[in-house]
Amino acid sequence: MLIYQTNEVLKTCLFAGQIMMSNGAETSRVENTVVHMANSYQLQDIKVVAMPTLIILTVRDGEGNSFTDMVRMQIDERATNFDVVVEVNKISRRLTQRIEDPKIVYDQLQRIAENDSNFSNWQEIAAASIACGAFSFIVGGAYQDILPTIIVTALAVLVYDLCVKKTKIIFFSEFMAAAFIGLMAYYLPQIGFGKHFEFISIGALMCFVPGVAISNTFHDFFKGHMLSGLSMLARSLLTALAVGLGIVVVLNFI
Amino acid sequence: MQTLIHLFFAFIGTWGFTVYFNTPRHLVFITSLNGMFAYAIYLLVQHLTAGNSLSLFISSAVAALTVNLVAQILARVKKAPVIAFSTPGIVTLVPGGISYSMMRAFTLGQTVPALNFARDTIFVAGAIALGIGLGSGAYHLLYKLLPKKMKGKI
Repeated sequence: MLIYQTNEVLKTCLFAGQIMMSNGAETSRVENTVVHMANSYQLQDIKVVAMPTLIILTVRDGEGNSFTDMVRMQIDERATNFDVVVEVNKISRRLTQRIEDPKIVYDQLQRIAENDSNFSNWQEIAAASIACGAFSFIVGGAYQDILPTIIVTALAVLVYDLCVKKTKIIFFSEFMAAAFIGLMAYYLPQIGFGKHFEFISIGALMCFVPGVAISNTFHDFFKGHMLSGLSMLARSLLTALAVGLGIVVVLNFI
Repeated sequence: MQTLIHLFFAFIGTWGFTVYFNTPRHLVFITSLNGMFAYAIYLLVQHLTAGNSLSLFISSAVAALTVNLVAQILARVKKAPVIAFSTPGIVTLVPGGISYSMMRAFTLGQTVPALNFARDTIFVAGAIALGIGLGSGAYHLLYKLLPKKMKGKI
C-alpha cells in the first residue's frame, strides 16, 4: 500500500474542516469528518479540537512520530452554504472506501470551496425575499403586505452586503439593515403600498434572524461542545441585539 | 382553508431559506416538505392544547423535535449532514412576532406586557433548543425499536 506524506494528509484534513466550518457546519460534524479522513489514511492516535475560529489536529504515523497542525480562520456571517458541506462530506465518505493522493483531494476541496454552481447570489437573495414575504403573512399580515415585504427584504439584504463590504463589521451591518427595514416598513404603508407596519418589518427581519447560529449552538451544546456552543450563542445573541437595536431606534424616532 | 393557506406559505418560507442557505438542488424540495410538515405539527399541537398556559411551549418543542427527527432519518437516507435538513425547518418556528412585540413594548415603556412577551420568547427559544437536543436522542431510541428488516434501509 502506498504511504503518503503525513504533512500533506494533515493539510488536506484541516482544509476540509476549515471549509466545512466556514460554510455553516456544526462543530461535532467538523470533528467527525476530520477524524474520518485522517483515519482513512491509516494514521493513529487522532485527536482533533474544532472551535468556530480554529481547528487543531494531532496524529501519529506508522512509526510513532507525532505530527500537529492547526488552522486559524475568520468566519463570514452570511457564508452559509450547505452545498459545500454536503460535497466535503461526500469526499470524506469516498475516502473511507478508497484512499487517494492528499494533494489531489486538496485540489478537489479547493474547487468545491470556490465553486458557486448551485445557486447564484441573486437567486439566494430572491428566494430569501420570497420566504420573508411568506413569513409576513404567517405572522398575521394581510395579502397586501406580501409584496412590500419582498421588496424591503431584497433591498435590506443589499444594504447589509454593502455595509459588510465597506466596514467588515457584522454587528454594524445588521444594525443598519434593521434600521433600513424599519424606515421602509414605516413609509411604504403611508404611500398606500402595504397595510401593516409591524408585519412588514417582522417578515423582513426573519431574513436576519440568526437561524444557523442558533441551531448550531444547541447542536453543539447537546453534543457536549460547551466552548463552541458558548461562542456560537454569543454570536447569535449579538445578532439578535443588533437587529433589535436597529428596529428600536427607528421606532423611537418616528 | 385558512390552515391550508398557512401551510402553503410555510412551505414557501422554508423553500426560500433552503435556497438562501444554498442547499444542494436535489434536497431542496424534501427539506421544504420537512419544514411544512413541522409547521403542520405545530398548528395541530397548538389546536390540541388550546387554553393550556404552556400551549406555545409544547407545540414549539414538539414541532422542533419533529423537524430534527425527520432530518435525522433524511440524513441517513440521502447521505447528507443533518443540519442541511434541520436548519431551514427551524426557521418557521423562530419567535419573530413575539420578540418584535416585546421590543416594541419595551420601547414604549409598557414594562409589564413587555415582560410577558419576554417570557413567551424565552419559552419558545427554550422549546426549540429542547426539540433539537431531544431529536437525536429520540432517533437513536426509535432506531433500536425498529424491526431488523428496516434497519438496513435507514
